[in-house]
Amino acid sequence: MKLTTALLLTITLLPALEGCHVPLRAYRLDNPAIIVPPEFTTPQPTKAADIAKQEKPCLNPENPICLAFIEVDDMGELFAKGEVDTALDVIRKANDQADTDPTQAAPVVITFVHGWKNNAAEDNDNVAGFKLALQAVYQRLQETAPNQKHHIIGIFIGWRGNLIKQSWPVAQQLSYYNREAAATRVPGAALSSALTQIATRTHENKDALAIYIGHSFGGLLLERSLSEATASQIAQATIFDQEAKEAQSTAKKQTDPEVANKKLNEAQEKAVAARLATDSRADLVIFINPAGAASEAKPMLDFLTYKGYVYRPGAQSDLTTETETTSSAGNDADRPLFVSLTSTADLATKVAMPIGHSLPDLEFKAEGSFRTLDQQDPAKKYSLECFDPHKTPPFSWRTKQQGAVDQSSYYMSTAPHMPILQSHVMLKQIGADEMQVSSTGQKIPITVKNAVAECNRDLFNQQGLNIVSTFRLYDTQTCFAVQERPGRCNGTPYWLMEIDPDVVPDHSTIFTKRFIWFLIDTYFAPKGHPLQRLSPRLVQTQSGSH
Amino acid sequence: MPTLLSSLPLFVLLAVTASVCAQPLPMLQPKPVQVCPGAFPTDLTATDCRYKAKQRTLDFVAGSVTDQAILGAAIFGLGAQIIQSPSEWKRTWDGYGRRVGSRYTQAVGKGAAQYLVGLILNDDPRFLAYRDDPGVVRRRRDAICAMTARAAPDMAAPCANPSQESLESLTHDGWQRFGHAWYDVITVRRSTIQGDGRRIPALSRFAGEFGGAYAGYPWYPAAENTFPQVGERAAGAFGTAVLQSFYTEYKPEITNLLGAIFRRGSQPKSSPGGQP
Repeated sequence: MKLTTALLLTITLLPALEGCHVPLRAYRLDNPAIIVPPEFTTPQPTKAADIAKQEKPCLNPENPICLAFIEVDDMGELFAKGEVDTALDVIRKANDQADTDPTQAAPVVITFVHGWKNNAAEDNDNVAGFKLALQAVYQRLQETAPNQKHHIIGIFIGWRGNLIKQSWPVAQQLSYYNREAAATRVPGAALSSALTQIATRTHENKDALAIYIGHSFGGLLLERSLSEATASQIAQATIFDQEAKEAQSTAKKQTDPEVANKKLNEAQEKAVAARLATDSRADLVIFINPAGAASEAKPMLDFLTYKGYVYRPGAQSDLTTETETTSSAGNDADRPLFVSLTSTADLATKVAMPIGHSLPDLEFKAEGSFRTLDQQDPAKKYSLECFDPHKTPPFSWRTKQQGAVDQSSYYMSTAPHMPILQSHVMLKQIGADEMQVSSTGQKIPITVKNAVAECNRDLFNQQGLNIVSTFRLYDTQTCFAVQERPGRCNGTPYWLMEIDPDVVPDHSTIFTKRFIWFLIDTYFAPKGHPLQRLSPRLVQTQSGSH
Repeated sequence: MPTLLSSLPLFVLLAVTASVCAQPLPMLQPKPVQVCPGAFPTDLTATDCRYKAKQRTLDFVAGSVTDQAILGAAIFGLGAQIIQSPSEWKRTWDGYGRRVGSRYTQAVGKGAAQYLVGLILNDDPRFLAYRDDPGVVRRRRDAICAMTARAAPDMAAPCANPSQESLESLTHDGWQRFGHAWYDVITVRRSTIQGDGRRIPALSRFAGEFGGAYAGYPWYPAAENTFPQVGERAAGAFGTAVLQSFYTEYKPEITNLLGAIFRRGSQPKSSPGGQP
């Protein structure tokens, strides 16, 4: 009798447990692109229905900020192809507007992929935060160039990051593995092609910027969606560039005008193909507190290292003719194509992620899936090649004593938390003439007068610090600097670094003016000028062409 | 006629107050972002500080009804099973069921009482650290303004919004933080947009503790249902609130300690704003 009662009770309670799931659904089919007002208004409604009532469709290119949504399901399929079309249409209209109106600046298209415990719902915190971030970017651009009209387009990539309702906090925490698997499974043709279309459509205006941002598991998802496609695009652009140059050089040497013409045509075709390949990728990809293992980033880092790529999008000359560019080139011109940032106080990726990966790590080890540095058999031996275009020679190998680690270490940490992969460090002002490395706590006395007071990169560099950029914290005006990591192994356009808790205090607090200003000053508008796309191609250093 | 020496203290006082009240003068003064007490500076998502009905309901359900409450009851029930408390319940499955059931009922009772009273009073029971308490910040600001007004009446205006450095210069650690942690347990704020609502006695919290303790009535043996026994259960539950308040107050120290263990970068001790 007791057993029957217990069984009946269990059966009755099962539907209640099912109720803890956030249903799989699209949230934005009715309104896939909305207007975001340029000003903050407080208080905002909190109920999804009230927020939905406030949202107006973005049909007119006159609107300075638009937000479009692209949603994928748990299997990586688009909920509706129409959402991608709407996003592309919004970009096209903005480009057309910029073409016809000389006061209108080229649009900036920012694509955001949210992380765990979020989705594209009207009342989702990340949706609200992204809207506020778009407003902040718009305001900043207005302040920087007040004579121009700016156009910011946000694209929010929604996936089922939130499997369990907030009202079941323990079950929600335990959905870690499940959602990590989803973030690994969802990337595929649907998302990759959507991202490629976004970049290509954006670059129909040669000055427009396409920026992708992924947070937490969204970083993992974005990296998986992009890695293959971006590596292919870079490789294609490089080969087409080389072929174009070869054809051009052959044409010059030809005495037969018909053959010379043919070669020139070929050179033109290849140059166009190279440009198209370049235009189909983003100008900048930012991973914020990414929750994916460093092993996800390693293949892309290796690709950029082996080929010795540098990225100088703002350089005046056509770099496609300067493949010889090596350490002699100015460090100023180097910009990142990928940026992976993590807070030193992000315990979710620093502590929880390695704990989460410890069991699968044991499983991989038991299966012999990892290579090690001290392996005697050369067929199994693991090694680490380094590339820094500002060193001579730019290529080198690292041993275990020099910081190289076994392959399993890349699975047990996120990339920006690994010192061996870090390309830059953040310095924070701690006194009138002293800076501190945020990730290590090391203090650096500043001997050049006024360098700290003026927060001036050139003055810092008089001390030979290799400062890439400086910025002031939005509210306190504390001086910060981004420095090339001394003795770094990674000098590729894939920048990795830990950032100070004063800029990002934890895993989730990312929609702050402090952080947005830092991103703009360091990556969007280095040296006070908006990021330019004069030469958006990656360039191989000569010694890297092996 | 005052000599140079005699007027020196006045100059020193003026200089000190001027430096205390001085704002940083950047080329482009950024628009301040008013965030909720305890929120990260310039957090754009933390500008509406009301403890909304949706959040209150979510906190009640998540903390007192669903898996967290069930797990808590199961774990603490196991502890009680080990020490056989109450002694009338044997160490059997039946005894364990009673221990878990009584604890779960208490959690629901506590949450429901706190939810209802809090809803009626429109309070905000979230704990705040001493340095983030709007009342403390206000008092610091008043103190700075009073100092300025006495020393240099012309400089009173800038003190309406003193810089973070000025506020931090009056930071008092130690006993004041310790006392504030207790104060924050026995009082709550009224829910307001700026998060600076008036302090009122924490009636919702007290109601919750006693509500929870009385919710155990139908479960516990008669010997456990005397007033002193119920009071003891309420005091035990109150201890959890005290621990939460102290955790909020000393979170930077605790995080730094954990950070040292896990070898991570240090946290700002008194303020998340990076002060030079």
